[in-house]
Amino acid sequence: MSLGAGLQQGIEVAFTWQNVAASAAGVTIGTTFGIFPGFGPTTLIAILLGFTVGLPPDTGIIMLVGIYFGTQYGDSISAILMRAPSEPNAVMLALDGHEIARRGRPGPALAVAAMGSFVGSLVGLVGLGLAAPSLGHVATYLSTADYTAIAVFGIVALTVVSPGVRWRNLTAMLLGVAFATVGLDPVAGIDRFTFGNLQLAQGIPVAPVAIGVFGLAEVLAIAAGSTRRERLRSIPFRDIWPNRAEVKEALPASARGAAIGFPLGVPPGPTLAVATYASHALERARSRRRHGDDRPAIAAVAGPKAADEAAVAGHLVTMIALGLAFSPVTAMLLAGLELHGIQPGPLFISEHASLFWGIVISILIGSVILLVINVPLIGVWVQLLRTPTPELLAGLTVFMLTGAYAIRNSTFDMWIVVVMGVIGYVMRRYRFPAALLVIGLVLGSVLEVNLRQAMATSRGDITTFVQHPVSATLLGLSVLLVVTAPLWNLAGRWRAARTAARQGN
Amino acid sequence: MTDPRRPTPDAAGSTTPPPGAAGPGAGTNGDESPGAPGEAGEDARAVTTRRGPLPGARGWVVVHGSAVFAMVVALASVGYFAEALHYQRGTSAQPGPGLFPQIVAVAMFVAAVGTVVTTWRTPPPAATEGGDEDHHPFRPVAVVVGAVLFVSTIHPIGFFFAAALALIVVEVGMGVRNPFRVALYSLLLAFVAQLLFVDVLGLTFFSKVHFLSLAPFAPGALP
Repeated sequence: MSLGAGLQQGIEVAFTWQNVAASAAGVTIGTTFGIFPGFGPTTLIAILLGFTVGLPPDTGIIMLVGIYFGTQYGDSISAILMRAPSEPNAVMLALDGHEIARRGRPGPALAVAAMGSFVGSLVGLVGLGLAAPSLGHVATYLSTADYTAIAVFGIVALTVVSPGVRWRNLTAMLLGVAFATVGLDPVAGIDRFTFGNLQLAQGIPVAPVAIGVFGLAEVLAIAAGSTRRERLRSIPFRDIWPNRAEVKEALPASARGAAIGFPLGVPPGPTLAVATYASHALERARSRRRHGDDRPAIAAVAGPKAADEAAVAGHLVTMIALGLAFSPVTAMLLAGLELHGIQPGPLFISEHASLFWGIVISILIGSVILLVINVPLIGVWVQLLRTPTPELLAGLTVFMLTGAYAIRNSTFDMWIVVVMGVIGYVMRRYRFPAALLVIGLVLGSVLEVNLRQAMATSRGDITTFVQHPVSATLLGLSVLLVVTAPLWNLAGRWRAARTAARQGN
Repeated sequence: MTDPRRPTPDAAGSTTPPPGAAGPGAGTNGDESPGAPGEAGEDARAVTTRRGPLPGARGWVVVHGSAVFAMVVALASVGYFAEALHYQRGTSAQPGPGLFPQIVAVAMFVAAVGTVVTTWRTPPPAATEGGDEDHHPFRPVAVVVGAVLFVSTIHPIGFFFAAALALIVVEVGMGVRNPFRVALYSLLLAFVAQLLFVDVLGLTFFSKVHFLSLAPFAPGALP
């Protein structure tokens, strides 16, 4: 199907009144909750997943996409106004964005972030529309050995490149992989680790685990910390808009950010934060060259925001084409798709063409709604930050548990949320990346099924993994990552020593 | 000289930590991956720096918490391996259901032991780990108790009462002392949740208690 025909099909799906309303509702709900510090896109998609359960698949997924955009923007608000980003990719917004807000222009900083988000989404959706069908086509030729290698590479890359201590990353990831082995064995069909529990025989589903690890754990972490929140001044409507010079600076920065973000988002790994970091570094360097000093730059708000959105679209390419998630956000979106009975993968675009193109167009609708409705309402979102924390946390706890129940009408899923919430909270408290547990859960079953099938097909010949070019390359890259990891440590120590020496001078 | 990781007051009078403090390039210590952006959700809310280790048993747990957690994982991996031995390992040409879990168990044990060793070798991060002045250990317990109550009572007493009960427990546990405020918000939120999930989305529960629910009066439910 050509891009034009696909887009036309997408417009037909996405532009029904139900789907536009679902997108608007998603964006608004997402922004409403996303402004609260601590509640980033991943957490909120986890909490609000239950809202989409009763809806038709296309409407539910379009609402999820809307929720994602809304929470992204809500996170920008808390990053820029309060310097309290909820996810790593919003950290860069908090640097220059908060400084500009402190200097009396919070409205334009927020508006420019929305503009960056719009440009990033636009570039991202074009990239998604072009790249996902091609990658999906290529993916139909991948063998089980290739999928094994993709899963191995994802696990290794996320363990080595993710921030934090690598042993802890690996522990978290393997916990997730171990959880993936619970339930009916996918090949032999016997119960494993179920201890006679019939509900465990179906396996541990991703959605309740993610709701617990991202949602409930976040609520517990916020409850454990200070519940005092600063009172922000309202932003009048007339003070929202950026001036011409700011727009002139922000638009090209958004385009540059999007151009950096999309290709960085496609490969497996924690590339969202890397994309925003790269864009921020570029814009800061440009600003320094132009002004000769370190003043905060509006371009360093627009660029990283655009890079972030475009990188997420890049992540979506991999998720849709391969059916694999390599980031917490895509793990949640994958859980959302599975919740509606849709399994992404190489055949997804050919089997669900209208839904795929509907998602592509809904990205556009979501970002337009964000720009047209949410930006003028910045003052209203700021007022919402006055909601008292105890009631907010209590309400969210009930909402997310009910949402988990809604998935399969199962109290067992609610218990999974509670247990995983506690595990996730303990992991966060002791700096184990709980997000890797969820990704391990997603990749674990893919790895086991494909590994066993590849071994069976090759009659036990282990060299099958190096005979296919894709698997050989990915396994080679995995080995390279593991081998070079100690060198990165040495480089980091050398940089730290050099910085310390410079400061000493 | 000011500590760059300490919260700095800004123009609005708020005290929020510098996000860059643990952001990109922060992880340059030992096994930490250098140059990668930090976990903002955690680090952006990084807590006030405290000089010196925490005292007593609690201090030991806070400082060595990750090692304790890793030890628990190591023990769990041993149990997991023992259980995996009950399933056939198969052959290389026909791997059985026990092979993959056994590999995972061994890898998990090695990773957990690696975590314990690196934690002991790294200087204790007592200054920032976990939170100090702002830390309220009983509030998360209240949230968990509220959640457990909600899950265990939702079928016997119905959605509205279970939700209201959980909300009351969480709010009181979070330190709200005004009974009027607790009652008002709990009943209001329980009603809104019931309206959304039971009446609009059509969730069903085993309970026959439909207090304040419109569901029994829905057109299909009327005799």
